[in-house]
Amino acid sequence: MTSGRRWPLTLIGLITVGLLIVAGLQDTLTFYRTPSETSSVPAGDRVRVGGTVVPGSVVREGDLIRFHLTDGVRDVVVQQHIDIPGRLREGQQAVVEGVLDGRGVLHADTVMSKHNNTYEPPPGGEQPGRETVR
Amino acid sequence: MRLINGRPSTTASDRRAVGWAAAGLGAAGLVVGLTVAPVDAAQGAVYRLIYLHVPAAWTAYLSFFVVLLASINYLISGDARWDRVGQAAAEVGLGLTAVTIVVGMVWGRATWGVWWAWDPRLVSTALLLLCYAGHLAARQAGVSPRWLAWWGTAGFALVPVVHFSVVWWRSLHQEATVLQPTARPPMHPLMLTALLLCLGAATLVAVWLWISRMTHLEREAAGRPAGDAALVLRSSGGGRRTDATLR
Repeated sequence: MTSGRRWPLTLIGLITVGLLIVAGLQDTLTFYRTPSETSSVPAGDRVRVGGTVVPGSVVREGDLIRFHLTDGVRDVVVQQHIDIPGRLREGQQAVVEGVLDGRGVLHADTVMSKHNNTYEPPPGGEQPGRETVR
Repeated sequence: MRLINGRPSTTASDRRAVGWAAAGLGAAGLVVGLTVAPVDAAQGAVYRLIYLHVPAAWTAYLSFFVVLLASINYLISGDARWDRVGQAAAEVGLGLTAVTIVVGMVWGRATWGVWWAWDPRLVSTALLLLCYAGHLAARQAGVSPRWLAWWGTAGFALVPVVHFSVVWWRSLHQEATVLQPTARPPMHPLMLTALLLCLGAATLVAVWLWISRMTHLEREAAGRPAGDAALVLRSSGGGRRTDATLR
């Protein structure tokens, strides 16, 4: 390199390395496990689980919300505090992140609703289908 | 377009034509997208960010493709003009990638519930941003056009990684809607129309930005001050180096 400012390049290089390290630590390439795969996860470990919210399983108990996440083979019970942002939709996919306790219940601190790649208006009417729980 | 020194070059009237076409198509796209297209069953009105997010992503990919072509041409011919084409397209692509990420973050907060997630699509897009930000920073640091051309060529490998990340790995971000192997995109016709109008508009905006930036870079390279200043001021201190000192 000749004259010119070098620090932006160095900074970007450091940020890139940092990003790759954090992505590795955050399991980017295996972003979530399926409910079936959680059986191999020891209690107390932090895990991200993805599945479909079982319709009818969403229950509010005071400050907590419980629901079941399924991959068609196995269910995982998820428990979260009501203040966590995001909207759960029954029958739609979600990815939750938290700690598995000894009884196989996932105490989630992050709940992310996935949505699929289809874009359609709600059947018959202006309002979007309000299957949301929160 | 006209020939200057035997090479094609755009004129101010060309740029105006492209600019007006972009504005017209953009207006049509936004009107259809914001008012005519229906709301989405799952996401409500917030899905309309798609009319900004997807066109920005698409034109970013397109810009980086231009960088690829310009870089290869520079490596073959050594003509500095190709380096300037690559620079203009890389800058525009970088800006568009930043727009994609920012709009995506707002959309994600509204629908997923989070501003960010370490999923393959988001991380690879961030890497794409850093790759071309680094390219720009390398240029500022004085890296030679030859190395920059190699960088511009290799960097394009990230584009298919970003695009296919949602297919190759588990991700929060959903798969593509329009670029799917199925015959019909799973999208309402009015929504699709608006999206295609916005994609066309964004492409023209990108073209307008490329050629405007190219014009500026060409003027700089020719030694004239950028812009049509009536008074030409040349300072000796921060002025251009002579050809003898340029590598």
